[in-house]
Amino acid sequence: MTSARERFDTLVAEHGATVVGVCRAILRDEHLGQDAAQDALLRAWERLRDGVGAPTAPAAWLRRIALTSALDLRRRRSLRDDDARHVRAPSPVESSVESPAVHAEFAELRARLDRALETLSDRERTVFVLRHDGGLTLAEIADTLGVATPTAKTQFARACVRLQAALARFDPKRSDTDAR
Amino acid sequence: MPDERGRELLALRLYDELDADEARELDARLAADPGLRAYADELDAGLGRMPRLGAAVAPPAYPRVRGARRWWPLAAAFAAGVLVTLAVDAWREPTAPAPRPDAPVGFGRDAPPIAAPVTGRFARLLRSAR
Repeated sequence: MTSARERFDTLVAEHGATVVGVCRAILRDEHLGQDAAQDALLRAWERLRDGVGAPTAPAAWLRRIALTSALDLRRRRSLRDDDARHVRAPSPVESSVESPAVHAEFAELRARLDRALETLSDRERTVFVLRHDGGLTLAEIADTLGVATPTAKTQFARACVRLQAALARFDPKRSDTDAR
Repeated sequence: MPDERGRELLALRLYDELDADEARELDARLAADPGLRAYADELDAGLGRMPRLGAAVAPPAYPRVRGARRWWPLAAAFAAGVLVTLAVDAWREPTAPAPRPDAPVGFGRDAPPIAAPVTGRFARLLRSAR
């Protein structure tokens, strides 16, 4: 009979990457994602140690804990009106951008994408980022959220269409032309 | 503008999420709706077929952006880079968290590094809908 510690170590080995991926996708920030993942794994450890809710489907169980942890952190940061999450260090791609003008376009587009994501409902945004960034299949997302797969698929598709409409107005080519 | 159902199906196709019935439905809609066909052509022609990244791409996951520049206009390539930013953000060494007293070994700083699967398909969402 495996101990709680052994089961936990196995879970981390098999699903730790998924936990971090889920958290980072929800929080859209590397450091916050790691923080939430830490919290999620600690919660999982405590439940295993205390014999509470031994998972029959460990992967889905851990994903749900990760999602809860990430959403909790997101809500706490929203309540604190913490602007730090909107300030990001430039990515390697951004840092490699050669001209200030292109860098400015880059930054503007990123800001538009961030705003577009915020226009989605909580569920649409969750489904979208988990599919697009979190590495989960729609079936896994549905399982995590406790909905049917067709429901998750519809929510994902609608999120895509809404984001597309929100972002379609941004055209760097037109911006270049206007600037000349 | 093409009907919403058609656009939803096209979005699912971008992410390879169509089942057989949905694929047939999309084909029927494309056959019947010139506007939807034009919209689909714009998506494909303007941004091209993005190469897939497997789940195990080693960080930093930016070769995709460099690859994209061979195929797309510069603006679309930078848009793809922005989307990489959404997925991965600055690829920095994570700061080590304060150790928790009863935390078992194996998480936190020991957690495996993660390579988020970056598809880049999000760039297609930038195309104007008709």
